[in-house]
Amino acid sequence: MALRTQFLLASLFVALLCVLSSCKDDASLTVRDELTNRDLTATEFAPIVYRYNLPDHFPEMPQPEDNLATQAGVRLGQRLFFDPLLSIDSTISCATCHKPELAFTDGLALSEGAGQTDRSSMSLVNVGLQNLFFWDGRSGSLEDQSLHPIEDANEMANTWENVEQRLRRHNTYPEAFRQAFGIERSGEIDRQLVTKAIAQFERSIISGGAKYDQVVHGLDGFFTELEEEGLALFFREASPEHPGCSHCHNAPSFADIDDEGGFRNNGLDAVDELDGFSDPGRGAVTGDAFDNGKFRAPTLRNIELTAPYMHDGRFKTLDEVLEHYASGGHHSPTRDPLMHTFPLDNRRKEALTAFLETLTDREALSRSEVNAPR
Amino acid sequence: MRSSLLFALLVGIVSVHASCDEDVPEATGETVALSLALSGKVGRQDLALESQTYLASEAAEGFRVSRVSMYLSDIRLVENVGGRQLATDVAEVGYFRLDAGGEATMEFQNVPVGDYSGIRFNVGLTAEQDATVPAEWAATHPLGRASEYWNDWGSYIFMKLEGRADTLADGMERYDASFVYHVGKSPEFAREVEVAYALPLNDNNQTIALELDLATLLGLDSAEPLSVVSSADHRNDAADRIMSSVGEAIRPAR
Repeated sequence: MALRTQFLLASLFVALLCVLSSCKDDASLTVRDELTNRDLTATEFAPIVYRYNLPDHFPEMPQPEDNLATQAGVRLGQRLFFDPLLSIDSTISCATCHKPELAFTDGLALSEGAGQTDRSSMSLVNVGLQNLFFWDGRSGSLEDQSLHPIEDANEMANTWENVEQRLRRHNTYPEAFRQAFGIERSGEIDRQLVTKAIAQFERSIISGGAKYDQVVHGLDGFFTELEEEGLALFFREASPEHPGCSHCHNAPSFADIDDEGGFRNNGLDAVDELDGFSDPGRGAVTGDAFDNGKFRAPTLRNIELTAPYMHDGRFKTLDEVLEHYASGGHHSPTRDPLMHTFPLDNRRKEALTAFLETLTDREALSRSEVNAPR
Repeated sequence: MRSSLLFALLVGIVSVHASCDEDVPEATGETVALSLALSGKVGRQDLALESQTYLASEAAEGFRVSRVSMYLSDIRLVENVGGRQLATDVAEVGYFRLDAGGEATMEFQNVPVGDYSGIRFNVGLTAEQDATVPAEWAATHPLGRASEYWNDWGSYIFMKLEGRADTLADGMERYDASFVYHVGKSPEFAREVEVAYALPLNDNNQTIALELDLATLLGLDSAEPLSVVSSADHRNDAADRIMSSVGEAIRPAR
């Protein structure tokens, strides 16, 4: 009998523990739900199409079918782009390395986030027109590209799980995601929605109203004599007398944005063997040694603001860049056939620089829509 | 009323007559996809971009090819019916760039089945196409490629041949020289090419395989081959020689 009573008491105790324990779980779940999985349906979801404002002499902005821009999406992307919340210690935002006033570069030879990266920050001007991203083209869409810096130890050094939790718990971000993507609970915020919003915003960083555009396409104003000389040098065919700049920097993007990515070795390093490049660039992505030493030909729009130059920021001034190209660059097994020597006296240097400066578009860079939201 | 009927009849007769003159075969309605496969050659050698070395008298240790790309336009299949040659439209324009293995394939949809005897196209663009600019086209369209347009000419670049040569007999792969032949501007630098090619196009047979011989384009076996050690202007005698040889350089794959 005593044994039976003891057994009953023990069972009762265990059952009580279980009930208490489950009550505790329910309570914590409710609290967690409140924090990370709020009901958002009280906020209206009424998407309005966002039209990218490209000049007539630009191609249409390509957009993935599953991420067509909306006004709420672009604004959310703008907010995320400038928000250091994305980084591990909330000190680094996308704009840390992509400052609007520097045509979305950072003025450094090698970008610095949580640590020092091994490449220079690329301009994001007209980035939506590109097909491949990063200096080596390792990413095939803007949505994919913006996945990477979050977890790069030298950039934001965070984890996506952490970012998702922060955004789900945030006081106001969940409503902004609701307006952009129609989610019903904050727990639906994930990395795909974050990168979609950032990509929508990045496509809105458009520069097509520089002096070059106004004179050539807007029929407004005139080039100076020096700028005219520079334009002629820039656009003439490559020959022993002419650099042929626009082979790799063709208008209107002044980049090489064909679907193969336009990767080229512009003779930066003197290398005898295919595996001798300190940074193999495109070759590290394709695994093809004959791609070693090749990098994207980036846009020259706003180049006056994007020093230092090249993937490793080795040239501090445009003069140094022009002198490099005039030298034909260093020999190496993959140097581009378009690299060749050409004469470059001071007048030509001044002319080419004057022309390149007609690609500066401060108005586009100072628009409130592409700067930190207030 | 009567004059309207007569006018309509006249228009009808003119239309029928015009369509008879166009040599368009009667459509059966059945269509299939067509692949145009191109493989590069340098004489008898297969072309491989960058990795393969080829011989030329100017280059002590040979030359390599970095890029071969081309526009084709007014692509048609031809067939002989009762002594008449009929042409079937395949595509208005196509673009190819040989890959590292020296090959490229262009895909065309909705091509009428038939017993064809050849393929005809322009290497280069028609004057109408060449009068447009890339911004007028979607980025995915062959004519939407800004990198294939040369502002200074006001023309697309119909053909790009690029490569590097090693003129130093030192046993090192220095590739100290290069060649760049870009050809463009319609109509003077576009050429019509017709390749005899027996093709019963149907569900089981949907590929035309052609080869493009760079040795012929560069005249490497001729008394005066084009240079593989220097860049050339793009609309000069060299460009003319290249386009004059293109009909011979494109042939059925062996």
